[in-house]
Amino acid sequence: MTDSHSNVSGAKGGMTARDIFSGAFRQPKPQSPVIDIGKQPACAGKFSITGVSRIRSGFLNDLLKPTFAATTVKQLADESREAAGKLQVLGIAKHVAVEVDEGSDGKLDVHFRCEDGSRFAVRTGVDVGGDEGTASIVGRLNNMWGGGESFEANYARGTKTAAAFRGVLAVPLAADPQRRFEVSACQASTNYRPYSSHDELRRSLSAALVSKQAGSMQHELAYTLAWREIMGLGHAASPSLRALAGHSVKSGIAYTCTHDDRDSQTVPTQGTLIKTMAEIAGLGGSVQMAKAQVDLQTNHALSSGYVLSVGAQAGALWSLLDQKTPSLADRFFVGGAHSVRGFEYRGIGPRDKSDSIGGDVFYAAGLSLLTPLPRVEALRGHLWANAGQCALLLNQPKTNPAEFMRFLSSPSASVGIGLVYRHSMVRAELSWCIPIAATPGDKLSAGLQFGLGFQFL
Amino acid sequence: MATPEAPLREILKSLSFTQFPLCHIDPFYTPAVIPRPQLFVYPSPGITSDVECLRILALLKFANYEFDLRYTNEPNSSPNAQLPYLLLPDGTAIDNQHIEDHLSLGESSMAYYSLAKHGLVPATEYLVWVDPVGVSAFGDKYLGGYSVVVRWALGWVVSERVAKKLQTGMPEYGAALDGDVVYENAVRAMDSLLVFLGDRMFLDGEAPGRLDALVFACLNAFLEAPVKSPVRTLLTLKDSKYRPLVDYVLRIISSYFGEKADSVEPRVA
Repeated sequence: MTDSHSNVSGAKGGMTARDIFSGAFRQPKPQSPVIDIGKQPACAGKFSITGVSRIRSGFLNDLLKPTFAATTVKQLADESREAAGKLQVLGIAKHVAVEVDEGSDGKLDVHFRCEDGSRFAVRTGVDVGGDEGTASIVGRLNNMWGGGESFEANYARGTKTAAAFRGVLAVPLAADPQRRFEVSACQASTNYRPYSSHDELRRSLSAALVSKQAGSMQHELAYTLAWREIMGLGHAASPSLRALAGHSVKSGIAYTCTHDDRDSQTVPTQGTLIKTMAEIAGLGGSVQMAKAQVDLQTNHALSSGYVLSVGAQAGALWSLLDQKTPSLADRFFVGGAHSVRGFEYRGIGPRDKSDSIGGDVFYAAGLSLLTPLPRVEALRGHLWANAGQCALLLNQPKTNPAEFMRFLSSPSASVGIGLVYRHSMVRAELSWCIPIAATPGDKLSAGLQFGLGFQFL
Repeated sequence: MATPEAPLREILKSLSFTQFPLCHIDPFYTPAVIPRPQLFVYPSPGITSDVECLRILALLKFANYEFDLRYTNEPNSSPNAQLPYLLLPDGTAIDNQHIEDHLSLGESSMAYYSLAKHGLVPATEYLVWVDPVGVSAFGDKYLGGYSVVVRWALGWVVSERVAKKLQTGMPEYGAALDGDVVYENAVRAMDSLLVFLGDRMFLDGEAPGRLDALVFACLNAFLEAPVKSPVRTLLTLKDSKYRPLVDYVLRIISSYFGEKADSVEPRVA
């Protein structure tokens, strides 16, 4: 052991360690190349997969096209991870470990070591939304034909839904879980007697193309054949409702475009929701109509935990060809804890006796301020103002522009204050409502109003 | 007695929710006014050919009840999902089983009423919903205005239900529903009614009543049906012994259905 001050005799013959190190520092440093391995050229030569019980070769070809098209190590790694993620999203594998090894001809061999996904699942649950609580049981078959196809059957009963069955077959397109083709069949019986003295039985078949894109954008193009029956009218049902009772068959195409980059669906603090829907019916069936609806919501986080939210909805429905009045099943309804607070569910709009008969044009808007509360993170103070109106104006024998302007400038409105409970699954509101303006037929819900669901205005 | 709480109570009363809304808006929709009771029946070129609709229509005519006639193909608009129904000016609807309670009519012979109900009515139902010839002829009357899908589905459902009901009512014939037997029962009922009518104007005596409404509706259904049936053949034979029954039907039509029925554009679903 030597110390830095002692002489070290050796090959240099009398030079001190200090002299040697000083000499070394004075010499120029050799230039060594920095290699970014991610940019190194590489391509996949072979692919293998283990651990899955069922997978189609055609599906694998679509899934691995980007992987085999990669030209650098980084691209290969990214595309392999992407493909592994798709296998998990589609339920083909529970977990996927990606292994890359040196193969022949200078190419890389990619191997997916998978844990097989569950083929069958059953779950029960309770859902809330639309002023209704629903209990359901869902059975699901995953990866039916080795390409990520799934079939889901659902049976539900609720406070308004007497019974509902739904079966959905979903097939991913080009091995992409963000794009899929869905075929569904549904039958639901809904009790609207407290609001409109009728039951509605709806049977439908539909086929849809759904595509989710980057940036929270989703497109859906669907064809639906639906047989609706307005029935169960009692002795007290109004004459206007009796005129709308019976069967109708709607055969039409609907396009829905949704952009949703909110940070939460239940209690968002930032982000925007823009949803537009356009529908045309008349490809057979007894219903000829065109319908359009738009939903907007924007949220801004102010300082100190305050959040300002502005929302708006509007829609219009036109009868086409020989159709004179729109079917009750297609009309708009406004009012309720999820729509315009301070009014009962379906409490705003055309009414005959105690029956809400819906409108062919509507709008609704809401302004909310969420405030932080001390000590309770999940609870928020809530100040709000809502307004909206619904009327039968577009399909009258004579259009009255003055009446339409009055419709636009005379909303039923309410203000209030309350509490919002935020849960990851649901939003609960308790509000003290003060109706400001209303027509004689509107059903007010002044005072305390409770709301439970996902989307609020 | 004035108390410190009295002023507060008055303030709270002024904030009572009976004061809301603060601003009233004129309504955008006004329901139609119904000036007179309206009877909704199945549409038909002349008098409605549906037995139950015609029975109620005849009862209202016999009782001199003032009403307007409206046509609809939609039984779901009725309180009990069956046509006809009566809509009163206050908006209340009365189904076919309770309309008679609103009318002042004399007593009818329950024995012959039961005979007509169990002899003639099943034959009319068989003709309309089970007999293949009748089903194709009457389908449009009841289900016209529906889409093809709905018409086929509903027609099949109603046909099965009627056949099962007729079958159930005839246990002596086992599981089979024989149309000939149904029509034979109708003919036997007509024989009894022919004797009961005799040379009177109406089955219920000097003025028509419930029995007349039922028998008239059933016989008119056979006579006006766009298809032939064994019952119609017997009624319309030359020198038929049932001629008095045919005259009876024509007498009621000329006395109570002489004027053109109130016609409104048929409302179909």
